[in-house]
Amino acid sequence: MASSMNKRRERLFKVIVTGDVATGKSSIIKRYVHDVFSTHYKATIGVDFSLKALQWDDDMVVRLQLWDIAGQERFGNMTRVFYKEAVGGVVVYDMSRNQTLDSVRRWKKDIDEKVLMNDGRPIPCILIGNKSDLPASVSRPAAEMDALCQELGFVGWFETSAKNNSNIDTAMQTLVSRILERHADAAQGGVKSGNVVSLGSSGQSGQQGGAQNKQSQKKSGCC
Amino acid sequence: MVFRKLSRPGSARRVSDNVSDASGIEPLPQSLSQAETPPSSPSPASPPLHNIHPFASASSSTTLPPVSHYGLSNASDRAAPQHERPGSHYQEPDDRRSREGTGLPGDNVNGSNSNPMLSAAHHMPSHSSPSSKSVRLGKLDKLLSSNTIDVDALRNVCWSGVPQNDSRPRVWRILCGFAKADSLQRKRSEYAQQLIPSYYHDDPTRRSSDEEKMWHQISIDVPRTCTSEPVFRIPRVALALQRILYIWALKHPASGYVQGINDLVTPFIWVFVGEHIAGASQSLSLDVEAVSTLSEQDWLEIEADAYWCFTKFADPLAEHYTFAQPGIQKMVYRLEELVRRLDAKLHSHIILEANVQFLQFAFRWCNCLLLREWSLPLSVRLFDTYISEGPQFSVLHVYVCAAFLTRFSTTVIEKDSTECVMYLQNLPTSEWTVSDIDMLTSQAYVWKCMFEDSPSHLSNPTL
Repeated sequence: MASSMNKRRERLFKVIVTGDVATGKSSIIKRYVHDVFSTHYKATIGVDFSLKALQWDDDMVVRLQLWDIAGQERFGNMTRVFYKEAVGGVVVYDMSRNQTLDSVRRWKKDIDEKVLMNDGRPIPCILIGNKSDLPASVSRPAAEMDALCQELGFVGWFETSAKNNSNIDTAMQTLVSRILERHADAAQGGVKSGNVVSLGSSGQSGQQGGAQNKQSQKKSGCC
Repeated sequence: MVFRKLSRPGSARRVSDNVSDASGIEPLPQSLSQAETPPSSPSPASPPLHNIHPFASASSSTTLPPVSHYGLSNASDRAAPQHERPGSHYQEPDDRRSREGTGLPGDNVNGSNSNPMLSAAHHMPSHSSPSSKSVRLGKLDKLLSSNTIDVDALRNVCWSGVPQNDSRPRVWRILCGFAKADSLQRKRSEYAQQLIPSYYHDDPTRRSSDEEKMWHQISIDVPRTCTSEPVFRIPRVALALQRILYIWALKHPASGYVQGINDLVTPFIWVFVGEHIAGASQSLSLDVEAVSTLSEQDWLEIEADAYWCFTKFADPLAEHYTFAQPGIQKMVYRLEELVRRLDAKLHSHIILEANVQFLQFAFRWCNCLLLREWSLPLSVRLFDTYISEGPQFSVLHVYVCAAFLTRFSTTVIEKDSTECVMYLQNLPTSEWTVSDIDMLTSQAYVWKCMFEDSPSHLSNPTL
């Protein structure tokens, strides 16, 4: 069944990117989509859009519609409009500002409350710590981050730098894989109990993400 | 064409004439063609509109023309709106109207733009034509040199742009209520001697946690405000912006600081800095070196004037920045409703075919009063209109947004979902000049007269 999914030429996925103000959401997206970086991006007002096309494999192009959502919490329920029909999420924090990691819990909860997969499960989300290039950035212990991902239901966590272009592709790759898996699951009918087990499996995936990240930490160290 | 069925004696006839000349007119949508059936008696709600728009005598809300922007190039219609303009704005002597009403060829300063909707802009007098500008300049000089300034007359003259850049700082101060020399002095010293010391302290231990949060937010946003203008990177300009925003936010606890308010302050800083730079007001940019050498005394004046004028300007916007930003949501909703009436094809493309919500692109237009959509000097021109319009300017703003959006109609309807929203978020205005803003405001004015004076034209009475 899964292989029949992959035969489709093109998939379009809507991914929302949230997190506190000035954690670098726009910078991550601009780096990912256009491979540019600037310290002069204006604060996002409302929402900004970008499109990233990925040649996923020989048979499939994945188009990611990235919704860069303003970080200031003033919208109330308005964000519901922005979150609608999203199939993946990225929550960003600033590794040089501890309090932005504290807010992650709130952002994830906000996503889970406002958007669900068709099968009623939360959409797959990754957690990104940005600005690893800054001297003030702090890497939290992997075990702590794994536990946080497990608790909040993140697919994985990644330390990135939009400035140095470090680890962003890996992070997004992980998210897209998970989105595709979910869609393959859904295509399989979703009547099997496997779907119900998914909550338990999110814990595992958190650990996977953590494991992946241990490699990536080395990577960013090299940069 | 279905549209022609609307022809009726009197004013409607002119429309059908125009329509037959216009190209690319789409058929009326179903809902509108239904309205053709009662083609006769004027509605009681519409009389004030007789002179404004050929459709004004039509009898129900559904008669609003989706093609109104095509049908307004008839010279005999062009001067009409001024007669009906509510309040005192724009009411200038008849001689001016008739003169400008015939100025169509000269109006074509932006001949490069072939969008037919622009013809509607010519419905209004051309404020960019030399004769009109010199007339208004004469009026402005006369007004500003008299002992008692007639503020309403000043609004009329400056609604379509302060005709002389040198006068802009003074005009903005007057229209924001700081006309008299003694009150200006009082306000300046109040800002420097009371507001700064009581509200703005560098010492973080003196700030509550909420205040600290706001301080931090403003500190993050100031360096990324108006990044296209190098002047805003000058440390003293950044300090002025930081202080104005922080003091304003503390004094407006219902909203506090909200992102986008930083953008709204920039035209005020720009204009009042320009006042202190010789020759600056004649150009579209400010010389960084010259600005860097201003004295602290100059800066305190600039900062105080910008603070007070911005405060006055932003007064009616309170609802825009409180939780969930209800004022902005209402504006966006109104905009959508308006576009649905004015350009049904565009509306249905955006909503149905491209599956884009107005909130996705127009939120920023309303939150930042279009400052993010073009260069700062163009916004300064737009603010001339808004400041002259007075506290109700946010009503006009929705019409300006509608004029802005419909101007790109032909391109928008060619774009599919993602492309459409990305285009709407970056409409090509880099080549725009002040006369493009003139056209938007003129168009907005025409539509505002049509809709605001006759609310039944909007389908939803609660709007």
